[in-house]
Amino acid sequence: MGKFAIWAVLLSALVVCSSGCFQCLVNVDDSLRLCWGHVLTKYDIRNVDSCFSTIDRIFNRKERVIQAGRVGGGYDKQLRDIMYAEIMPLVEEFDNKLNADSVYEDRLQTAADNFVAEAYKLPRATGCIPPCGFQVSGSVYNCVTCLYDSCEYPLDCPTRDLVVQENNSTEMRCDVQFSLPRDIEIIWRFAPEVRTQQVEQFGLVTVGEDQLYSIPSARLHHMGTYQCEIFSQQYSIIRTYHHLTVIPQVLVAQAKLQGIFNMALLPGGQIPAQPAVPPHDLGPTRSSWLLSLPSPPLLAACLTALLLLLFLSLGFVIWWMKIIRNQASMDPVTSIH
Amino acid sequence: MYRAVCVVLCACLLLPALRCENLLCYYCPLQSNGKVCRPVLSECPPQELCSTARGRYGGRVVLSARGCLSKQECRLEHVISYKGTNITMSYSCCDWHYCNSGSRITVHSALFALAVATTIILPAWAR
Repeated sequence: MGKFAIWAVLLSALVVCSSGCFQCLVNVDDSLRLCWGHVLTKYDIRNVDSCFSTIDRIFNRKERVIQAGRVGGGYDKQLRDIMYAEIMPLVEEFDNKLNADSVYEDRLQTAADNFVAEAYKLPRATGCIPPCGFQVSGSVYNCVTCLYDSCEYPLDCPTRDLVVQENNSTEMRCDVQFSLPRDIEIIWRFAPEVRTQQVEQFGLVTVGEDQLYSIPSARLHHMGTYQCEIFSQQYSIIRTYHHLTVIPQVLVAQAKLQGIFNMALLPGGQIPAQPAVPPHDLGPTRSSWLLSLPSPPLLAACLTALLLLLFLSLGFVIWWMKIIRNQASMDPVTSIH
Repeated sequence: MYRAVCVVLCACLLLPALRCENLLCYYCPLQSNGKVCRPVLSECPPQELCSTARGRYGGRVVLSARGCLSKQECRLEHVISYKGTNITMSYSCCDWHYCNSGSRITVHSALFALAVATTIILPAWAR
């Protein structure tokens, strides 16, 4: 067991990891041409295996080289050019000729140093802008995986809410925070009624380059979720979502009427030509109606005055009837007739 | 006399380890299984054998390589990191020239047939 562990440790040191800038950027045939004449001086044999081990040690397992290779989106081609500018002269020089391992070691080390110096001059990534989308400009080249490290954001953006009154116009913009590539295709999809991000619920609406989706006159059937998906070279970059709520016209009219009614109830109130913002619901209107009532003492005084007037008029009617009756008793002829 | 020469010849063909010279093996760096390498020969240091390496990921062979390997390493299996993925490597080794050419069995059979033919024909021809 112990022996096996020692072997395992030994092996892990010997193992060629074979992941690095050299392996990512130089194709196998060129590296085989480079290594063909590698002479292992210890045994005086032409040994290709140890040449690849040397390359691996100098280029691939050096953190310095891997760091230099962390260029911004789209710059891997330039990185390859830099690598080839260093490697190809060696390939041509060593082609079908035998060279000692020490020569290889020196020349490859110089090539690696030059590569690091040149690679650092290439633009680095601009950084990722959250919270969503595949951002080429934010991604970083990785010499371990030979791929770009993405920003690791989801394609789906959080849903934005939109509210519009029936018959009014509205528009949605497929805006993204990061810079988009030039050749983009935009697909708008619509899921009626629901608020969702489930792909299967959406139906295709338009395909083109338009980032703006406009509804000139919103109807109730426009209610639902709108998805905007941006493609670049057949690959999806981002999906944005807008949830649209349409307030029916009936409710809008009712709210407007309520507003006008409130204005009329205000003491000395005048109905303005166009109320600025008609209230939307009935709650606040009811409270404003209560607020527009006169104060209780004023009410009491009014009521007292009204009652007094009633009693006075009643008194006057009784008094007037009495006079009529008296006149009738004093003139019996008239009364008989 | 001839029989003795033939035995030695056979031994030379089949067991290069017995000879003083080093093994000549095909070399191809670790890459995706199925990609072809231009044939490049590499001379192995003493005590190393020709090997064919296979890298498995989830039971499927995804990588392959050819080259020289020490006898101890031939028997072992281990995990390496290739482009950020852990791959289980296993090796098969052989000890005659060019034996890791890829079509291992055919080469072996051809050599074996040649050796057998030499053993049979040479003494007959000598008489």
